Amino acid sequence: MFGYALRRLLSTVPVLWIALTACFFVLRLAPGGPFDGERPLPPAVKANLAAHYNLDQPLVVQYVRYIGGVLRGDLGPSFVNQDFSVAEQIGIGLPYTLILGALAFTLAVAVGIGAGALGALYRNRLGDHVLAGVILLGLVLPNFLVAPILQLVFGLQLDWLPVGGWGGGTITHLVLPVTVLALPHVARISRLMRGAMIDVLSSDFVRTARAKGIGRAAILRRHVLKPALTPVVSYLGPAAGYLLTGSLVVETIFGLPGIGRYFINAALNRDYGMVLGTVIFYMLLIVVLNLVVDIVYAWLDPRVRGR
Amino acid sequence: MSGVSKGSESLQAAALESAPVRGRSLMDDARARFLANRAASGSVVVLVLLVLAAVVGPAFLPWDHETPDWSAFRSPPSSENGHYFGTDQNGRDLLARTLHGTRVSLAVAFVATLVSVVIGVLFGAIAGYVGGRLDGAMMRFVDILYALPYILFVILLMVVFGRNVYLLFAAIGLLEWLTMARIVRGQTLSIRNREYIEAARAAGLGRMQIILRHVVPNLIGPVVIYAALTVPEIVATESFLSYLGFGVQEPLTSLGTLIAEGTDVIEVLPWLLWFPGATLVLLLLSLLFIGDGLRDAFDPKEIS
Repeated sequence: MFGYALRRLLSTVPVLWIALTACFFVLRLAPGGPFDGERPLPPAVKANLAAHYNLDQPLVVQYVRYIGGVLRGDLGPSFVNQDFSVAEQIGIGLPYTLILGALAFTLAVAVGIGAGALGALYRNRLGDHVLAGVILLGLVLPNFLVAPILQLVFGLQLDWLPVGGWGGGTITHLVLPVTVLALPHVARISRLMRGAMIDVLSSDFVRTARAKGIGRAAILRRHVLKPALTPVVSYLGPAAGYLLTGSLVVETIFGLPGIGRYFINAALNRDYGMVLGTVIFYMLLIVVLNLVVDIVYAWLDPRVRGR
Repeated sequence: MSGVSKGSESLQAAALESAPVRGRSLMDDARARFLANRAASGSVVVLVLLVLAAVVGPAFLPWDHETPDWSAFRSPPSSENGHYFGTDQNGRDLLARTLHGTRVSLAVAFVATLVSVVIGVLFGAIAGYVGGRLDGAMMRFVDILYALPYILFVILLMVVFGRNVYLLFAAIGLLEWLTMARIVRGQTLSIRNREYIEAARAAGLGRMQIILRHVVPNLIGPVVIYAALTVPEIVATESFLSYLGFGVQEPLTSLGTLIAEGTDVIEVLPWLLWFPGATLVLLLLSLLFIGDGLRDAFDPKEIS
């Protein structure tokens, strides 16, 4: 198992390196530099700024320096918020994004698996049809549409929940953003769980177990749950990535101070250093999350370990 | 002919008289299954109406999507002043803007789907047909790209090269070809050993010729189905980017841009959110049902 994890980890290094290199050079292809504001700077000031950020060096030198910095955990300076480095800004936003993402992930997994399992057990009954409708809504409604509707209903009209802001991370402030972030994944996970569970329930080994006289609850716990969970687990890796991109919208709409909002603002303000740093950080995060999911997957399904 | 007996003549006559039995082709079966699927066939009607409205509708409106009506700012939906969907803060007719936005969203979806289909089909067919180490490397590449936060790269591209609609088309297309490549590769593996491919090889055709002339045309079924399933995803992605401000820009507009504008004024001018939002949901729903319907019609095994 440890060898499997190590192999997987090593195989992600070239991926990260290629992606980082591609991003770096794409950014340098950009017409204009980060200091070409609306008010042109005097040439001497511009040259000084360029020298300060090493932009006057040959591209290869800049690249080597940047890679060296990344390896030491230094993502370089932010070109717009010049008082903070990129790493500092990410550090400030990270806890908010992680709390939001972790809560939404937990909610999506718990509700998705539960609802999917119930849908499979009570197949074609009223509850199952209701579930199908909710799944469809979750798949079709984009989060940037659900969020303002929930804000309008629960925040403005019913006045039960705050419309936005972090508010010290109290539950009332988190309910709406976490729900919006989790909704599409609740839908996908419950659909996967329902399908897989129906397959497993109609398989031969479940029939055998039933024939042996094992109780319903014991069959579900011992024979059905683990194989039915494998497609769900393999979805969780990509889901972690979707949650991060989803948090771009959710943090913007609800005014939460996470990395997503920093990224959007940096991209809108053309803060190249910050954009590049955030993309690299996101990639690293997603690769690590995928790795964790793969290891869980290998534990659930021993057949993949050999590959 | 003299050798023909009387019995066979009467048989021949009987065969000629009876109504010809029409065979049922694969397409007939699929069409019947598709039409029997009420959600899917209803969605086709909805989609056709939406496309018609978006394409020819603006010609029948007295307003266009960018000219203000100086007599009706912030007008709620009303039939009296002719603004059936109301107007925005600048007096622009929301119906005209919604139709224009739908047209832009559909155009992006169409072009981006085309880009993703071309890349995905060529990539998958080459990997599947050539096989061996090249196949392994190409599919490993797809696995790797799957794990990356692609939308961030699109945002990065939009930041670097400016918010250009054509770039948006290409970038979203580049985003969505991975699954297509996987599906096409799987199909190619199953047809590469068929007799007609062997015959083509025996006739001395080159690899690329075989791939383009004999492999790709036989992939049409799964490709069409998966492309239909890709369209709603692309519409959603485009709206997502436009909503965040990285997609379609003024004076053009798209459903995502309109929703973003409507969200800002949801309390005072709620119709600015409702109409574009409902249009987007209707569009996505009908595209989703059509894609699912096509898949079920052509691949009955998939129905659970």
